[in-house]
Amino acid sequence: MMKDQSSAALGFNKSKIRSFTQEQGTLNTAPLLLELSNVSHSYATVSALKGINLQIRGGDFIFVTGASGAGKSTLLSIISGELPPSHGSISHGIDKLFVTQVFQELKLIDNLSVKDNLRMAHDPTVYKNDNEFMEVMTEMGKVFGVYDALHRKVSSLNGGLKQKVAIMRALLPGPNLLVADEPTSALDFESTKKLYDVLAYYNSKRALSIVWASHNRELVRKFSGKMAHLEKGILVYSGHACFI
Amino acid sequence: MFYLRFLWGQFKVLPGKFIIVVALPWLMVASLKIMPLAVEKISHGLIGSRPTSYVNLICSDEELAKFLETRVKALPLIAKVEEYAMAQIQGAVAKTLDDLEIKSADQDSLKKMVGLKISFDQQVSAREFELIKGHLNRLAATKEIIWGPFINIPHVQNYSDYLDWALYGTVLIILYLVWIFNFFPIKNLLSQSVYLIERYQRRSQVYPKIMTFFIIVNVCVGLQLLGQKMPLFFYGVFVLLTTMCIIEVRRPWKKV
Repeated sequence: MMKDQSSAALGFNKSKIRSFTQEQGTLNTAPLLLELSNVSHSYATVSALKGINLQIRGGDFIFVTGASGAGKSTLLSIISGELPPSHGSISHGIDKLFVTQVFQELKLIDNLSVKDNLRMAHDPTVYKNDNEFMEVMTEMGKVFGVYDALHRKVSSLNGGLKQKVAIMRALLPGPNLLVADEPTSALDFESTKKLYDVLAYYNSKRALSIVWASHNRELVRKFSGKMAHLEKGILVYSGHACFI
Repeated sequence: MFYLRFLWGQFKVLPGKFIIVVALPWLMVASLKIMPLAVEKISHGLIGSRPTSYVNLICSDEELAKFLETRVKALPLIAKVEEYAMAQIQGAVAKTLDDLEIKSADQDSLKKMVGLKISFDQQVSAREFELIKGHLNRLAATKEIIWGPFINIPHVQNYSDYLDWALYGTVLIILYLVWIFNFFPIKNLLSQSVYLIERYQRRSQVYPKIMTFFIIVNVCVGLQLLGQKMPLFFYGVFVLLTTMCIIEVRRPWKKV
């Protein structure tokens, strides 16, 4: 589907940390991308996260679940580097870890076209020239079903299309880790399933690590991947989704 | 190249606002040159001319009058120099000569005389007037100048002194408000775009680079608009204010 531009950028050989994952007890040779150690965060007097320990490795597909206000968005913002934690530490397993984010509020520029919004992700370290970027963007547009809308203004799109554009923008620069906060809240199950298949392709073929937050635990159960469940800012469970 | 292309892309979204934001400061700078004249005309229109100190003099011929008029305009403290209309002065001169029963030969030379009124733009002291008078007498050399009395009108402080500043300030405030009104949508667009570039490209410190580039483009365009002399001080103040506006908002979207 796409040129394999991200594998070199991933830099997996630089950090080969061999360890047992806490939740499964199996040998895991995948490189450690990010580790959260005893991370807490507070907004004024309100505690949003308490003592989170979490490892994210190359090729992980992690669903973060929890009710509204459980701290999912805060955890994702800390993972993406958008928000510094109040306490605890974050360590990177590889040099120049590049994390992109699908924001809950999408953060698209309404008075620009879809194409111009996607151009914000034209990273010259990934694409040799504009043609290469356009080629990848067009192909991805066809896969996501937004090809016909590439020249439309974002303000004229419905919520589902906007979410797809936001996900495309996060995938285009070939990140090591993709953090998506409720990326399918405006999509029906079929569209969500399709989107999951695309992301699962990137996850398995490109070794893209994905952290996907959703308040819908039933939806997540239908997909395969790891799960981290938050309740009132505390990580109450982390393990494979199929074991829940 | 990236920054040039980026700014061009942003320009295409809000072309009118970009033109106003780039051109208006230069219009303000250019207006500083013509503003005093315009403000003076407006204030005269509103309250009329203020009386100032003056002196009348009569020159022996028109040639000397023209010469003195040119030289005296170059001196400090001079507001304006008026030449009396020949017809008007001739009638008065002829009547005076007849009353004094002066011969017609002498009358001919007297009729060649031309009158000048020199008005001063500030309160001029008697000593300063004597210096001007001595200077003009030296310029006239052998030709004759008949000086009238120096009419010293003391300067009275009134509200008209502040009118110039009020008008001047009002015009600048209106222009600056127009600029601000057009600048904020651009700032919002630029800061959002830069934020996204920093999030989705392996680049850092894009914001200061973009704004530096924006200011450089602004200065280059401005130099072209103004042509040559640039009141750098005023533009410096403007850039400082602009920079303060730019720095204030770093993140265009609220945090979670």
